[in-house]
Amino acid sequence: MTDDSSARLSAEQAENTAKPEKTAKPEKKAQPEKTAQPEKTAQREGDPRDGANPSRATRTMERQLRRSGALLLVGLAAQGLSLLGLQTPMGFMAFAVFAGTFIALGMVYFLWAVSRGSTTIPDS
Amino acid sequence: MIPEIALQSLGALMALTAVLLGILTARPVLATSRMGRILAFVVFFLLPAACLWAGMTLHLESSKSTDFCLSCHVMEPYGESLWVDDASALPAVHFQNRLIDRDRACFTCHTQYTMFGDYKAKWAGLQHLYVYYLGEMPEKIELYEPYQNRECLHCHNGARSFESAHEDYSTELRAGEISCLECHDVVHAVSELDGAERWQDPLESNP
Repeated sequence: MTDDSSARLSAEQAENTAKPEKTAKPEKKAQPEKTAQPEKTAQREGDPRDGANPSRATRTMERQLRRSGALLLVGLAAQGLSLLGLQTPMGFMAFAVFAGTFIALGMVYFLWAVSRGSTTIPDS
Repeated sequence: MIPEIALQSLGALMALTAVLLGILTARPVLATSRMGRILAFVVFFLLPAACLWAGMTLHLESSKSTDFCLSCHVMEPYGESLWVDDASALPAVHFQNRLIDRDRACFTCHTQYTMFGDYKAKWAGLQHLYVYYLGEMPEKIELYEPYQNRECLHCHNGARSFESAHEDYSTELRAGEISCLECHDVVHAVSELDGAERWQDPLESNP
């Protein structure tokens, strides 16, 4: 009995001493992985509001420039058409109502985008 | 008349702006560098602003022409009254004797000679356009406010013929106590046009 019990005890001790070793290993490996992952994602994405992500900021800027450009091009087209009717009230109205409005909107939108977008226009 | 060179210059400016806008709109990535940003400011703000200013100037200038005013059919009788063969008709005398520029006959007398008089007149013109196209025309066309002596005196003040003929009441005229139209009361007599004779300009055909 004593031999059996001593053998069990020695086996349990051996198990107990072995368990912490097994659990410690993954902890040591996991700690640096867990801390390294957020750093990597922060470098890649960052806060979208502070312009740390160039691709996102560039996309925003591109979208804003496209919108502004579209407004301005429509306004210029309207102005061109209004010049065909120069010296007619219709031409004057087309200029004042359509061309002037679209060009002014395009310019104001661009200025708004730039004023907001010192964050969104990235440095190359 | 608008000079041809002004139209061509504006056309070239608009074409340049449109091309640059097209390029930057199609490839906005070009605006990411420092120089690109400066170019974007020029193309998206300065050039359109220049186009807008030039276009507005051109349209404002062209809207001062007599043809522009008379292109609305309700104004046609007023244009016809300029050719009436009547020495007492004030607009006709000014127009026929070339006391005013015939290409700007309406604007010369119907603008206000104040700091923002031109713009005020054009603003009123925009209201006319609105009423003409979208509103209801009044039965009788009237001025917004009584005609001011200031508009007459802009040209006549200090003129020899005016000063000698109006010596007795020049102070009252300048103070606006007497209206010029109290004596010179035949203006655009459109209701009497049917029976009135027209003066035929030997150098140009009447409208």
